[in-house]
Amino acid sequence: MKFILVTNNRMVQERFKPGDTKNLTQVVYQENLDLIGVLAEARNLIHKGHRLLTHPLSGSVKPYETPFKSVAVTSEVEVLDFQSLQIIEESLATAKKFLADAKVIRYSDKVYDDFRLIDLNLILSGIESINQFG
Amino acid sequence: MRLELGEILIKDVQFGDVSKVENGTLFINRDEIVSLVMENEYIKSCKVDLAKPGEETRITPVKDVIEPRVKVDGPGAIFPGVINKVTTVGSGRTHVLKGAAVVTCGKIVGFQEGIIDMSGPGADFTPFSKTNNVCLVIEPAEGINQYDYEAAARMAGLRVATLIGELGRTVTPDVVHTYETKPLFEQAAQYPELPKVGYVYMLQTQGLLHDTYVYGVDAKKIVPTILYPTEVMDGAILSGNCVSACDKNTTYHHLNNPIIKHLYAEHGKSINFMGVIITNENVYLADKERSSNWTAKFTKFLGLDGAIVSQEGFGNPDTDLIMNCKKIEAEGVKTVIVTDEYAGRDGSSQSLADADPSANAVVTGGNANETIELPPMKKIIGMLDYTDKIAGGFDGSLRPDGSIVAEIQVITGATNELGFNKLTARMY
Repeated sequence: MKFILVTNNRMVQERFKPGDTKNLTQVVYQENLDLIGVLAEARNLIHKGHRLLTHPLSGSVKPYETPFKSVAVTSEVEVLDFQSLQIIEESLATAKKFLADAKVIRYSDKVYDDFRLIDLNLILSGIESINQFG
Repeated sequence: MRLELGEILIKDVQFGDVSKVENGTLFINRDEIVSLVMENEYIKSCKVDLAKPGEETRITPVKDVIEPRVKVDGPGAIFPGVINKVTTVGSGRTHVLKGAAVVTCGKIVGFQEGIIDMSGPGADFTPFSKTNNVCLVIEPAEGINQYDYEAAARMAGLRVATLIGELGRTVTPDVVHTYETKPLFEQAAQYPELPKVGYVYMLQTQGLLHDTYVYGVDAKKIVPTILYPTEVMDGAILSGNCVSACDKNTTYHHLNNPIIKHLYAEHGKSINFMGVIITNENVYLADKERSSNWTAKFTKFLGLDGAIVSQEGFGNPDTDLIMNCKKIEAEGVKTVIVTDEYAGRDGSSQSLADADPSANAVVTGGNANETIELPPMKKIIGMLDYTDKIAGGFDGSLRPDGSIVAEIQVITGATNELGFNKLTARMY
């Protein structure tokens, strides 16, 4: 299944390239987006008719800890998928709740790389599932 | 399948020349443990320390907690597919060093979590303040990546727990419990007048630091399947889950799953406990759909009247939980779901990321956002330099005197979603 990645994670952008990674048609990469920004970008695509492929709240690392997020949506444009819309809206609401409730913590660069690695690994497990049958 | 679980009550742990269990005291030869762990080339050093209930000790960052067990009769051995051959376990007799635990610690990534305080206010929030703990502080060799470090720490804990469990092989247990589940038709026929109840056991399976293993298989690669409940007591399910200390299931939690124990306690009285359906919590949405379709299918296939569904972790597993609940209820099978909450520090926010009217019977393990002040401890096993950066910690949460102000989600097992702790909420 052809898919698009939305991410603010440099490690994901470096690892997965259209034409290089099977079925990947586009990477929407903006390093300066925060986690809410990535989810909002994914929601924009869902509004246009792309379908959500991976869960936007993957992992147990909390939204006020990790600023990194990668989400996969289908490349194909269809009619609006309400389940995708519901999941992305609930995920946005949850992320906003967490961010409103807690102070965002500043970490060292090394820790940010660890967060990038976790996000890379979570989306990798999703991509493996997406790609296992071509 | 019938399993006798013989509990050898451990009241103390000490270092000694010879590792043994004698009159309720576990003696550990420190060098023997260190050399076993150091057989792994990915490990640079292993420090072994003991932590007993009531001591002014803080263990952190905790990766896993494992109860020492040994199979003394019946097929297979503990931790099948990982430490021992992949024989089907869950029958015969197993000895447990009840009151002892192996605790692994290590800074696998820069943000970490998992605190066990052996005394003080934090001790009330973790069951592992009541166990006699053999702690392994594991440092990786130079250049080892996080994947290999996590695997090395996980294996070290399991190997040491197996070595210690072996000490109970010839000791006469203080208490013996017997658990039995029969093949499906026989089990249904045993208590035909009682409602048939099953357990849907959700396992965290999303990738690095978020994984669980079943008979040595990475559970994100499984489709839902059926286990005899006693298989779990022999180590069929292992934790590789290092994130979200409060609501991850350690291997100790799996071995002692209280939902399974309580269902057995009611077995033949108020219910007919039919078995366990294990399922996963993957990142890919189609995996979630498939797995929840299959859990629902199995509940119907097993002829269940009711199912208990337990979640592991936070965030997207809420979606798996609600998918399971909705689809099982749609099969005409009543559900009770077990979860925990991130309801804000005052408890007034929405607790879960997903919801459905069919989720009308919910048990909570507590609100992970509640804050707590942990006083300084005389002794630290592990390292404190990261505690400002733990999940649930916030800027300045580690004070110069060593005290910590944080949410209870930093504490290992605080809001466990199997109900292996004391927190909950009741509606009157």
